[in-house]
Amino acid sequence: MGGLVALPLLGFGLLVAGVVLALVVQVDPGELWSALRAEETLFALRFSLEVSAGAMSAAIPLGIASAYFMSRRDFPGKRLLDALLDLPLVMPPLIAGVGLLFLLGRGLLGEPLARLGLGLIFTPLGAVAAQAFIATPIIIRNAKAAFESVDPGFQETAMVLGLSPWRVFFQVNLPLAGRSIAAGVILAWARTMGEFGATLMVAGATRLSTETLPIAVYLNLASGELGIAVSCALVLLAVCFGVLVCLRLLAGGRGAKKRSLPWPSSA
Amino acid sequence: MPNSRCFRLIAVLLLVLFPAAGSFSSALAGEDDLLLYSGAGLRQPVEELIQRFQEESGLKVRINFAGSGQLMTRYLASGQGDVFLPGSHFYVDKLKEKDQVLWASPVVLHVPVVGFPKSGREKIGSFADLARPGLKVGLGDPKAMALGRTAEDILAASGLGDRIRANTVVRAATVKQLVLYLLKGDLDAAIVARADVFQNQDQLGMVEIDPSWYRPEIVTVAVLSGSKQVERAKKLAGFLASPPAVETFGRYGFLPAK
Repeated sequence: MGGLVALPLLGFGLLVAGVVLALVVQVDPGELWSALRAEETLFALRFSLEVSAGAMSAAIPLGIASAYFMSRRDFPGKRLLDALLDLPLVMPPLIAGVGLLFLLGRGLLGEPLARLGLGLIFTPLGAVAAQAFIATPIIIRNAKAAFESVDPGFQETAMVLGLSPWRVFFQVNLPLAGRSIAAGVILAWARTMGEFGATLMVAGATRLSTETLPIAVYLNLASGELGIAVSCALVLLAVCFGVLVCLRLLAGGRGAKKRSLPWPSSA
Repeated sequence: MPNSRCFRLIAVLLLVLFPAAGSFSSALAGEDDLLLYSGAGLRQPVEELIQRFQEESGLKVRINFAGSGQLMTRYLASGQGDVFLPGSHFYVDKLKEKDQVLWASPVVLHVPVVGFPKSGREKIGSFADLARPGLKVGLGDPKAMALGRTAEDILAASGLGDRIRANTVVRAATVKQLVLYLLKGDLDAAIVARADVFQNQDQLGMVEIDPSWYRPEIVTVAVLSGSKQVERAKKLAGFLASPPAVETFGRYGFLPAK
């Protein structure tokens, strides 16, 4: 049975590898090399990394704090709020972007925000806001499940022993839920790197100003320049793959017990 | 038990999704249908025209709307499709170079204008107003958008290019994106298509641009050499280039090409 069950894994693994390979064979090495050194590609890569870092630095505290509250407190309307927080996950990013544009644009919050010096529409800061909007619910979802899976006994013991709520959070709940939360954070980061629609609507697609790698891919695809588009996509995939592998190696290296459960065999 | 609830949920989902997937795949398999690639900016008149064409000819047409360059890439990658109707002859010329066009004809002009929100803070009375300091101007990306390319020509010919570029706060990937920014008042002005302003006359105003500053994009219809039903494809393309079709385009603010 083991072999039979491995088939879906093998099939899907081959499909993903096939997609990447099909992209790779589209560009000849010379084209890829010149695209890699092009100012536009380098700018887009740097900008993508900066924006996603900015988005994550907002999304991580927002997401973890919200998730912690949701996992530890009951209040009227909690289920409704829980479902509401999932909405950004099902929203097409383009619609999330249009909604943010309407909210943050001149019509509603644009003027007051501008007076505070927080111009979000057509600015890199707007790209950060758009990506944080996409990333936060992913972190909430994962962190909430992680906090809920922590045995409440630990928290009760810590409180009986006189730890302050802050120390209970930082020294008990957060470390115990840490691995699952980290997994959610990584997933959210990966989403921000590939995010396109929301960023496009809020920040625009201004070359060398608000151009992330996915926007570079889109602009070049739209002008029929498949080679540059695919090269930019490969840069994005390579960087993300590298980061994801490194994070997994780091997590594995920090004394995490590797558990390979025995395959259930019929007696 | 959570497990049995989970199974029940999956069973319900499967029951709902399978018939849906079945009808979806039968719709996908409609291989006798003609496949039309149409520039997204032409959506309203094209939908009206295709409905009329289907009623008159009894043929079925599937329409693929997207940016013209993207559609070209889609066709070249898949080799599938019968008729191509991009917002600019530029893309038909590109396909001609690759020997992918059997027949082509101009349809209507895609004329650029300066669009502005009627309720805007800034009054736009002439093209030169775009250079006024502090104005928020939006333009199309010159590579991704046909009108972005035209806008560059206009800026160069107007002699105000540097000052307008200094006012440019955003570049968009599609013309509809610029129109949305105008409608929401996030921009004071943008170079958009005449048809877009025409279709939003109640909210947007326009200033004409000196025709000697640019070569208008020509909406062009082409029969693709990848077509497996050339005669039917020619019928559709001929219909889209016919005087009654041009008249329909005219009702949406497009000017005739001939």
